Amino acid sequence: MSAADRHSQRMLAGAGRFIARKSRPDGLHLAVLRSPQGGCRIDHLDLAAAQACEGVQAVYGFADLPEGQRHISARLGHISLTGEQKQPLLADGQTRFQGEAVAAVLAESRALAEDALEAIELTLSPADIEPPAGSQAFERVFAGGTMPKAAATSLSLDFQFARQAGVALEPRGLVAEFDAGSDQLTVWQNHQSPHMMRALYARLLGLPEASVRVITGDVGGAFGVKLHAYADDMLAVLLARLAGRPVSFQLDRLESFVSDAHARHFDASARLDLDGQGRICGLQADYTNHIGAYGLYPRSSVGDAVQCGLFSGAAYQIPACQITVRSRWQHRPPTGAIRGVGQPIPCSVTEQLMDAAARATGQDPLAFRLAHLAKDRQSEQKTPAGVPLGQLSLAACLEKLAEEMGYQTLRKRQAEALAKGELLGIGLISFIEQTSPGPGLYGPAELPVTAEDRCEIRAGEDGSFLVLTGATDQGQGTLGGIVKIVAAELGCTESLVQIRSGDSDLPIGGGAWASRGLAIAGEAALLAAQKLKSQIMGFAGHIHQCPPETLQLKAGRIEDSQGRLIAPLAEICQLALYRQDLYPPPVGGQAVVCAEAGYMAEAPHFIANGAQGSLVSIDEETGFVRLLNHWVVEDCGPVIDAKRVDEQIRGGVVQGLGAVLFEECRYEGDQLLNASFADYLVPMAGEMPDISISHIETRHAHSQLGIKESERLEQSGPRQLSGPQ
Amino acid sequence: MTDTQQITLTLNGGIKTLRVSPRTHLADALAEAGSNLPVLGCEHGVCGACTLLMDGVSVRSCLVLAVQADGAAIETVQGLQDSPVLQLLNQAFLKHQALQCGYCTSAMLITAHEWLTSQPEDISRQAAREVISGNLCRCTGYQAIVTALVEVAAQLRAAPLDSQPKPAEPA
Repeated sequence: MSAADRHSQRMLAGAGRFIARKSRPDGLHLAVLRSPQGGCRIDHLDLAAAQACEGVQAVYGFADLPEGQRHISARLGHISLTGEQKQPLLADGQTRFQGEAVAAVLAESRALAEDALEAIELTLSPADIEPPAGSQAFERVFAGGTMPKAAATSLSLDFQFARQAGVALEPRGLVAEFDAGSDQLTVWQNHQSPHMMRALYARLLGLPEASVRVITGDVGGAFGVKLHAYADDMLAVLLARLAGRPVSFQLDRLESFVSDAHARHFDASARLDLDGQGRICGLQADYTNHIGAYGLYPRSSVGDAVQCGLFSGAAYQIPACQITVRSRWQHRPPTGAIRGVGQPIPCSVTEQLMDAAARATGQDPLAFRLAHLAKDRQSEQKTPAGVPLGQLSLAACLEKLAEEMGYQTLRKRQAEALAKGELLGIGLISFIEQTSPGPGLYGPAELPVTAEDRCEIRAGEDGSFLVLTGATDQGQGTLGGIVKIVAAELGCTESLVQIRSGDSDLPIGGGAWASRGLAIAGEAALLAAQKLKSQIMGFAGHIHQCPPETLQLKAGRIEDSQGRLIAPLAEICQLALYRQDLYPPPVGGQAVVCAEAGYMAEAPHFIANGAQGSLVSIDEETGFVRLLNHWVVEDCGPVIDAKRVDEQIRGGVVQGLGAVLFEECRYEGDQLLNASFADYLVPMAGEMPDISISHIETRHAHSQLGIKESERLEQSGPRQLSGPQ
Repeated sequence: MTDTQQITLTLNGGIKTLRVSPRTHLADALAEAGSNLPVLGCEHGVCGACTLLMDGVSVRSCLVLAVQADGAAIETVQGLQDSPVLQLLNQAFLKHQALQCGYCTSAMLITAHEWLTSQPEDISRQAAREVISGNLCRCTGYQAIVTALVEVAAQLRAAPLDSQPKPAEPA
């Protein structure tokens, strides 16, 4: 049984151990009073009555926190945001957003802590708070080529994209335990990146990094929501140290909606210029991203905007561009990374322009795209803003998509339907997706996120293998993929390979983000497996007096090139482990059964690409859109586990469909009106169609595996639905 | 606030006597009793993640007060492990990758099990989609879950329960 199946089987048996059920009999429970309003001065805050409530251990306001441990700051090394403020762990005299923690209660149970919150007196009044809502935090212009002075045809479109929530089904949670005797902090947290959190907790508490351990365990969906370090997470860990007892902090759904990362709140206007022959000659676009009250710790909140600059028009040959991106402050929760950071918005803008251009030039949207797509299988191409693209297969994907959809037949069906007064829409997109960034992304930002992942593999006395990885897995199947890679290299069944992950005591890694699992950590595992094999073969070759390069490892046997048994792997491992007395140096004392290796992307990032198509019916009177069919053609490089890749794509597409059709954080002023699952609609089974998936394979040129993305974070989704023409 | 009441229920066949506050919902009471199931997703009855069986009928355990469950037989998916229908479901979920993070899975199985043991007339994909339309899954996009449900439904129709192979006796 594969490692991914072992995880699945545990879940099927109801044996998952999620953080909310981590019991600490000696522990306290944290509840925070969240500001009902942003952009306010705190006129009155009285904690005394709460302190007197049953079961309360301690109540904290901002001033009760130790100096030097009261703030976090998402200031990046290379980008400073105008008006940026340090973020207090508890509001300091003013509230910047609805949902911001104002006071904290530690009590014997969560229910008692919540009771005490009700006894806190808080009076707010609207005030001028820095930075003012609507003021500019960031602006950057991305330009390439020379924009045409005069275009034969120009197509302009305006867009509004709503704030969206990431919505992991399991809310955020952690248990923090500080052992004063040994000065050791252990945090169990449902997070994507335990190594990053280790560094951040150590910095906050002034502890040596090695004294901090973060363990992630089973995580119930993440999608970027669990990639950040929220002020209340940092507070919970700080309070565990102050209180001297373990602290459990488990958010509920209403808290999740007002404190988790939101994303994708944009206004945009864009113009595509065509020359006299109907060729694209320029792209001009302005994006304004509304990012909330703070840069979200530690990655800040400019990723969505920067990506719009880098990736507008990315899938097309566009000789010139002028793209301005801006970020503006709001009195709303900070925005950050959620699945597919910064890619759905420029993709959506670009694709709608392509449809408008096809319509304006009297061409079919498929033909217009095929005529302008970036070229397949060329390595020197760049996006309009200058990002290198690597080997693509955009046209091949789009052609295959048209074939899978029965595109021409659908067009006929659309025309026939229109003749009967029925509206059918056919949507197409081509997309590229940046994945697995190298050190150029977060290095200059000075963030504690390693671009490199490392992996250690140990052979046991019985010839089984233990893989220790810096990758994490929230259901993507990354760990199962790593096991497949290692088992293939070491010539054994997957059942002989165990894997450990999700613990900052394991080899370093960036965790799960930007579809990097197999592209980065998978490659590191392959390198470690190759190294381990080479060590074992070298040792076996020495013992059996044969050249190591003629040996192979197969099903627990070391064989010569003719397939004759040289020695069982277990025997070699036992000799290496226990009988070094027989092998004096230089053979003895060398690493045999344990190998470690790391991998960091040489390229700035990997680029995957693909195409998607939709068929919808539209009710002319109500405007109701019903999705009838959806197709995907995807090029993520070589596929390690075909079924899991397809299910990742389906999950990503359905999240994209949710953003298009249902999901929106609805605000009145700065009050979120739909902070519940009753009001914030995510796709349920009844509304979704079956989704057809097929693949084209183009390898990444700079790694052995050639994988471009693994845990499928692509969420470009069917942004564009072209109506009947 | 903390006046408690004693209740007795069975959880997956084992008798549990609990002291609960009248306001405590069943999911929290089971957590306090040390059970890792159910999990919670919303605590307002929409996402379905806390679904379990109470006297054989699926309920949202976040919408049931613990005191209402006094004397009831509660089953989570752990209590259904010997059910041949659940075993078919487990095989089909594995085969089709009908789960990713696994957080919704135990409740999804409860819902699916209830449907499949009710001898449904309509076992189409659309019917299966409607059956699970009260269980939020953020990972899969639902298609593989629907495939698993429909496959088991077809297996049960072709060979009804009493002709399915019996689960192995515990050693």
